[in-house]
Amino acid sequence: MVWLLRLAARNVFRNTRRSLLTTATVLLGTAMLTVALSFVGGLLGGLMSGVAATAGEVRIVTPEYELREALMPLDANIAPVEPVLEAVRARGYAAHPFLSSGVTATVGEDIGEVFCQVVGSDPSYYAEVLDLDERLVAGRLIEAERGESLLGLALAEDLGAEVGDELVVLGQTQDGSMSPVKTTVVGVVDVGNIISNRQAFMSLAELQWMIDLEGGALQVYVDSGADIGGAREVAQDLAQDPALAGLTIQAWNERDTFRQIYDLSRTIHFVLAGGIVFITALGVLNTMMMSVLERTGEVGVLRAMGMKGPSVVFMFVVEGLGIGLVGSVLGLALGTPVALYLQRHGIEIGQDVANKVAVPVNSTFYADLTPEIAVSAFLLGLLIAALGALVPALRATSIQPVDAMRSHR
Amino acid sequence: MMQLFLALSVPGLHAEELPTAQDLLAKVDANMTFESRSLEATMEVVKPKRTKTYTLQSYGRGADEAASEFLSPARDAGTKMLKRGDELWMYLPSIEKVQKLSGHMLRQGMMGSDVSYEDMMESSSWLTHYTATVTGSGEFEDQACWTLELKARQDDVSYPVRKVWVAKDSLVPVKQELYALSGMLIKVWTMHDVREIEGRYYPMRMRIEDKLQQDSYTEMRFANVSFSVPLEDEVFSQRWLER
Repeated sequence: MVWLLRLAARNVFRNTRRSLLTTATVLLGTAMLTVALSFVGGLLGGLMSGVAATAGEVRIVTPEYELREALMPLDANIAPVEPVLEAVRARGYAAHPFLSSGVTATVGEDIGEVFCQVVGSDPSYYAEVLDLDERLVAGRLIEAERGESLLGLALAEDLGAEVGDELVVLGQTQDGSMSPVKTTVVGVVDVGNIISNRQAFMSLAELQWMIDLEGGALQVYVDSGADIGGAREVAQDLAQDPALAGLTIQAWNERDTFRQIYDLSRTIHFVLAGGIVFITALGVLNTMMMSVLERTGEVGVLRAMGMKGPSVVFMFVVEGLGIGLVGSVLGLALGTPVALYLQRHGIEIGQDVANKVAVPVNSTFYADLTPEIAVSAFLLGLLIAALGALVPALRATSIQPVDAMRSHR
Repeated sequence: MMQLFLALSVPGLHAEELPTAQDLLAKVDANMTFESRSLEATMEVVKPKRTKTYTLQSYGRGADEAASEFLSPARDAGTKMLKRGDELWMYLPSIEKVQKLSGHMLRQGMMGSDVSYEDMMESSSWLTHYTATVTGSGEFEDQACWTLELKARQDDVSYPVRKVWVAKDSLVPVKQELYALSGMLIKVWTMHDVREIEGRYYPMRMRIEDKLQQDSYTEMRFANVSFSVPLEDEVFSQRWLER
């Protein structure tokens, strides 16, 4: 066994140029896998997080609201909302009352210049879920119970609004009556996706007044503080609570719209990751196979000298693994800094492109390099190199030694 | 006897003959159009989940000028509306601004009621916008009525088809069914408790049902109705809105 390992190691250094070329291919393949898988993971993960943040990890609504959600039914509300919030908090989750409504907004004299969505929630939702305190571009967060608003960056640009301006929005009450609200813009925030950046943020009391829904909310957003992947378990836990009976409790990925996006993103992830692995594997396999196949005659000689077929295969696979190991380590060393750079700085696709995407998406896409991706890229580099050696070695050992020796390869 | 009574109650009409739509609607207009009008109204907006009650003071002059001010509830007190010709203006006290209502805004329910702003804009003279036919006699709440069908001359009316019940005695259009072009019934507008006030007949209660919304209706009750209140021009001005 040891002599086989030595032979395999010697083979690596026997033709330095060939081994370097093969190692370089594995290196590039592993580096590409590291960067591409991080980027695709980051892209889709960011998209899902954005969706979950916008929609609530778990949300509680009335069945009627769910049924007519596309029509934004302000009369299908939860009122009073306090008992619902208390029930959720008693189970150890954060609960945020949430109101939203389509309005026309202006900072000038005329009413109704720009259509947008206005959102109302408690300060903890803005601070802890949307992280608005870290996303302030100008001004400050809402402090007063009424009379103040924050503008998403894109909305502020559309309105030509600045901190200190008077914002007038014309909305509706839950009965459909015209309901205007006047606030002072106290801050501008870059929320990180174009949908939220086109919203105005107000206090819960402000929106309750506008909608004429004292003590009520349209939705309750639940935040477990854990990974959004566990949202279904949180929803099932809440469904046990008698205080929430009669209400619809949904994990974000159980809602029709987001389930479709989630399923689509998983498919895209699978196809993209599969495609990247396939293309990388093809390159590495090709180089490895060429490296082994050109030595078919050598296989014939070894077989004629009495070496068993499995030993020959083992030798080539070990050689492949050796090259794969070096290539994968170097590939990780090359790919990791690139992935980390993209994780920090991202790739700007431009606001115009982001504006055309119907789901919450940032104009900058970031990579997300996780230990799982690094290990996967490393193991895939190794595995592909070993496979690249195994397949032609098996073929070479399956033919007669004399035929193999006659081969010009 | 009843026919005789009906014939006498509508001067110039014989019991056996259908009146011409032109004559009938001219008489309806004469009764429902006034030089000046002042009234207090209570508007009850009933929705499946809640009922909201508003009180308002309303003034009118001719067919084209009307001004109203909401007195309660507190959140809507001070809201004013001014109709002048085919324009409707609204003063919104919470933002201290006057807003001209146009486009899609006009189709919204006034203060969430089943009466749209567009309904408020209508001139009482149906003959201008509709081709009317008297289709026969009918009854509404024990009142003998002439029944009419009105079809719009142009596309720009809210309701392309109206079926109207005009009380033979008071000449008040006590019931209207308002239809879309497709024949779908959109609203039913009824008038009740018709009283004679200062020589003309006027309903003290109206009920408007929006048939496109389940269990939704608006009822308006009137009090202190007067047709002889001198109204200054300022009442129908933008200055009054912002005052």
